[in-house]
Amino acid sequence: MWSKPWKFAEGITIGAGLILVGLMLQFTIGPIDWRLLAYPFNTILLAIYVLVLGILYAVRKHVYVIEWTMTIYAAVPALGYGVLVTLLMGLSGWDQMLRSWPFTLVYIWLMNILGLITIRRILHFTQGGIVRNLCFICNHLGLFMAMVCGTLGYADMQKYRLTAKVDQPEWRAIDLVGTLMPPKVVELPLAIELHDFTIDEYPPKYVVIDNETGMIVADSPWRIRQDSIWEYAAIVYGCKDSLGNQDMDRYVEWPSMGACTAGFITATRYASAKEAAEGQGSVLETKQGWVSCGSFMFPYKALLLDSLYSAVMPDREPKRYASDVTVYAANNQKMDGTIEVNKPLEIDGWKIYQVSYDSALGRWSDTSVFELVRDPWLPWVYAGIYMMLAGAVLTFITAGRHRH
Amino acid sequence: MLISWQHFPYFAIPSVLLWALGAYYSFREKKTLTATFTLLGIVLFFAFICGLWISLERPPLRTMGETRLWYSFFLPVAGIITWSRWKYRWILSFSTILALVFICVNLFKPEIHNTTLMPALQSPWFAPHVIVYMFCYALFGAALAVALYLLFVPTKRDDENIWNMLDNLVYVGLSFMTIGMLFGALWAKEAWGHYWAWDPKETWAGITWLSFLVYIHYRQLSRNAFRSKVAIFMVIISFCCLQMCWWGINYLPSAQGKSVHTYNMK
Ligand code: HEM
Repeated sequence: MWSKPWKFAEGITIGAGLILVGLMLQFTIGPIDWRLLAYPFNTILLAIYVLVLGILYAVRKHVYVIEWTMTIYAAVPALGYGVLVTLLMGLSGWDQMLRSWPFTLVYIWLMNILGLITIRRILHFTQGGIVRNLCFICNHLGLFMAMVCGTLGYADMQKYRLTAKVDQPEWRAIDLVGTLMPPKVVELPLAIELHDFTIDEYPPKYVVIDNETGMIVADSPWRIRQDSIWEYAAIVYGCKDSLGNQDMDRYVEWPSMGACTAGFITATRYASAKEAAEGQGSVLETKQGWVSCGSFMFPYKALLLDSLYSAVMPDREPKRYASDVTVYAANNQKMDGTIEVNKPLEIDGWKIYQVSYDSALGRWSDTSVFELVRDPWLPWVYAGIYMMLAGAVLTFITAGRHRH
Repeated sequence: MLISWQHFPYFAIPSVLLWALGAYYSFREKKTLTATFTLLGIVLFFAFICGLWISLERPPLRTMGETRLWYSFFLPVAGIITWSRWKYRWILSFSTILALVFICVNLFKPEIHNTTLMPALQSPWFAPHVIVYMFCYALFGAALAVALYLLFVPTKRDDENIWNMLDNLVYVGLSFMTIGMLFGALWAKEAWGHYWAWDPKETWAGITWLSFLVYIHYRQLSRNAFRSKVAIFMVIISFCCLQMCWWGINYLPSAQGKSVHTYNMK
């Protein structure tokens, strides 16, 4: 070892050394606080880093480590250590790893290699054609940009959670990336006024459950048909049934806060689950009655079919959450819009995401929870991501051509 | 009439038979017959997927059963592309057998097939993200088969052609994985506000990706018997990581209940 030319052994040793140094730093300095790198430190750091890489590249002929760093013999162990530290995080679920020194040092080592070989490839295209060189640059420079800018930019990322109530403009929010415990409430330079929050739901479903376990039974001999439905209903206890003699509960339309969904169903029993699934065969028995998934005001209601089975309506599944809002930003900017999952609203460098609502009230919720994100480094990360996408396409195209 | 899972056998069984015929003729080196039968099987199988898509009113990409459907679809697709480009005679038999395995799982262990799609999944990114991933899984599956072949038949390790085949499968598989992962990142930004959150699924995707990169870079070196065996294990280990990423994390204690890819107040 350590006699030229260096091979894998040196790389494996260097990696072990980095982990060791990392552990020592971890026990002396403690975890890394990435937030300390906020503007302007991250910008200065990036400039210095690129400069240092350039200088290292310039003096490579005089320093053997640098020459070696730009070879596969350095890249493979470095990537291997990258797998290792990430694997440890994946297995333990310990996301503090992101702030740990060993993890960070290994990734910095990877970035050094990436940076140096990219500089070399940009200055000296190799044989094999322009496509191959472009492919290399897209893959390696793209990853370098996405990782470095993503990491440094993290310190400038702002992320807040804001809970708005209908008709009450709100500008106070919880800081999600700064101090975590106790949560810090801050005043934002913009305010959100919630006009309306709506949930669209999928149509109700009816399932048969086991009376004992409460589990859904996929193959019961019962087949269920919906006869009528109230989307907005209230329960009326102890009514007379159609024969006028028996106490039963039924539902009436009730278009007001807290209404639930209720369906009147007919359940028919067949000889076997197969016949029931197909709806063919002779009907052995029928049952009729109301079922409801309930709401925060009304209880859910099941229909007892026999000693084994009941019919129920599970909670309706949401299809779309939407908040109608007006957002007020600095300089008298004002914007009306609808914020939905997957459709954030953009204003003044902020992106506003729909994240939640008052789930106890369900579709009657009068509050909506938003996340506001501002990430000034995002364009650089995206540039890296798009380069990698181009690189992947080029890799696909060039795969299979003869390599040297 | 709406297509549902009840009709699955009527599409799946003829498709498998067509693929098997295609595989048979690829051994006999009958190019036209190979291509015709395989493509017919693919079209028939895709017809089922489209039918299901229409009757569910959403892309069938949500339950495990549905993703297995795509996997069984993309195996022959990857097979025929590989075959048409490099003419490996065995590849179609391999893809047919694997597709058959996934079809059998769906035939004998049907799950309760949910028809709804939660809001976070209703995005134009959803279909491309998952479909590209399924395609990459199929290619890595083929790469694993080649690696195992080299492991158990050591005499073949001097065969340059087989190594080229393995390299090609990993290259193409990795470029699809990269695309799938980056689509995922762009989507996550729109849906959750950040492109990479080191969620267990993302972490394992990262591990898998890096692990295949180790193989690719290692293979840049000159090749000899010792190195080749190391390379074989790199593919096998990477494939294991891929399985962790796909379904293994569901059983990983440290990953329970941690995913950001859920949507609620708690
Ligand atoms: C996007 C992911 C990556 C892909 C697809 C990729 C692919 C490649 C390919 C195909 C080559 C061979 C050069 C050629 O023929 O064009 C190569 C070379 C190399 N890669 Fe990567 N690579 C990736 C990431 C990395 C990373 C993270 C490192 C850092 C350790 C790295 C370090 C190297 C080195 C040192 C070389 C040899 C130097 C050279 O040929 O100029 N690569 N890479």
